Amino acid sequence: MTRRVTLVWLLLLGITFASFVVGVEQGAGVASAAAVVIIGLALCKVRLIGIHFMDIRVAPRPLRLIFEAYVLAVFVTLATLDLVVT
Amino acid sequence: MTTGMQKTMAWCGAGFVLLLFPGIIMAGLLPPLAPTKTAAEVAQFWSTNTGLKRCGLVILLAAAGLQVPFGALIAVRIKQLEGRFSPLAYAELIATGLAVMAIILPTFAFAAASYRPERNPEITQALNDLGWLPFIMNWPAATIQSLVIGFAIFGYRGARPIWPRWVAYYNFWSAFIFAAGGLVVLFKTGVFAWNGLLAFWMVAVFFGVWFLVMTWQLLITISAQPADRAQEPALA
Amino acid sequence: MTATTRREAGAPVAPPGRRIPGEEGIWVFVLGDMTVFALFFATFMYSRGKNPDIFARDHASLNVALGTVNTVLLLTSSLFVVLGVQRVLTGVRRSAPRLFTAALACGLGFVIVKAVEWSHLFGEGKTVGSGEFFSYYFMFTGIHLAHVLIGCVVLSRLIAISRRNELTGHTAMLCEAGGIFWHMVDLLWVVLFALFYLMR
Repeated sequence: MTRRVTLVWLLLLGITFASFVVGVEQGAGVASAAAVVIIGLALCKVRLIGIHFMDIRVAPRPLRLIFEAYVLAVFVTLATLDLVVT
Repeated sequence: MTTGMQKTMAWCGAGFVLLLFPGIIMAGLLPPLAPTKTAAEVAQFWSTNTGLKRCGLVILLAAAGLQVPFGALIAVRIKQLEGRFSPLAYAELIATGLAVMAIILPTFAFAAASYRPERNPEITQALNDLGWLPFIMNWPAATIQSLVIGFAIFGYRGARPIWPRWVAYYNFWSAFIFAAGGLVVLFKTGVFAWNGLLAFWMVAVFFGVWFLVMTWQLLITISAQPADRAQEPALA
Repeated sequence: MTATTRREAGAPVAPPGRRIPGEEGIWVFVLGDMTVFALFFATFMYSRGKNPDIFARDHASLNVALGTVNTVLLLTSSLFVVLGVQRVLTGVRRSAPRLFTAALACGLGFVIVKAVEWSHLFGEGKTVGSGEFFSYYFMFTGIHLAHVLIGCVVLSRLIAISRRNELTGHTAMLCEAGGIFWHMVDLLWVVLFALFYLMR
């Protein structure tokens, strides 16, 4: 278990730095695409924290489904708002 | 204290919501007047449909009072959880008093605004501000009630809890939500202004829902209690 | 200090069936709070779409490096909390207080870094009233900061609880619930960091 959560932690740090790079390197024209990527990576981290740190892994299916639905809904909502609102 | 009386007091919580929102609508407070309105626009608002608005304000006062029996019954339940030394129950009583004032004081200000709408518009705008700001900003009354319920449930170590533990967590979360209106004095536009999506609409919805949830939870406790005082349960 | 049950460190715990981590009530709180913050995130994205120039300009005032430090602090603190809670649940509790203390140190570090950031912004004359971007920034990170401070109190309780000689199942469950609250604080920051610091 220690190894698993440590790997998750390293993955979380990795994603953090990856999105940092994406954030720094975004040019003017690709701002929307970069934003969606950043949001997506953030929600990946959210999911990892929930599944492995909060231990939703072992939770009954309804709770698991609610959490996964949340992650998906937030991603879709924020990405849509980014692409649609001007 | 009969079960009938207890049930009536519990239902006052739902009654408060069912009376408050029509009263607010009649008084023209839904949707809220934007903080950015000029004095002339505010005066114009209070000069129209005056009869309907004044009736709405009267209903708001009636609604405010319904919080008293509701809060008092909650305090009794908290006292049953605490036992002989019951500071949280006293805090609940005080918070209930504050909650009544939280509706009454703004209503008085709106009543004054509505009373002589032909007066200097700047005065009307000032009275309008005096109504709206405390109406949305007065978070301590609601937050304290929720925190007190939560702590009473968490603090109970006995064998027969009155409320399930999720009610405590629900109240702690509600306590946070109610505080969201606390900073409206800093904003004239945006989601945290007194007409904002977060400070007004979100809080209003969860505020109303809280009364319905707590009414439901109180009614459950009444069926679990014996009606006759001679059979008071030893819960500590 | 002896653990109430003696187990070799690393010995396999019997695989649990499906169970609710912590207790059901903590999920009422956590899911409710996550929903409210989702509303926060959505209002931010909407405003960003409506005011792209203001957001791009004001975003440049934020210190992304400090924001990243804060993210690393919270992620690391969550790791310590997971390990600490696991020790408590399996009864091998000797290192649990140290783990929770390390988590608390990270949490306090977050608060300090945040204070540094904010005072820097205040020094530049940016406050909650300085336009759309900063009103969202200070309100949302401020509300989050309140959660962090409450979380620090919770972690202090976990330190105290894990030091006890004997732990009931109920208290162990409370540790797990407290840990879940802290992970929520971490999780919410992850999104705030992305929205405010990473997105131009």
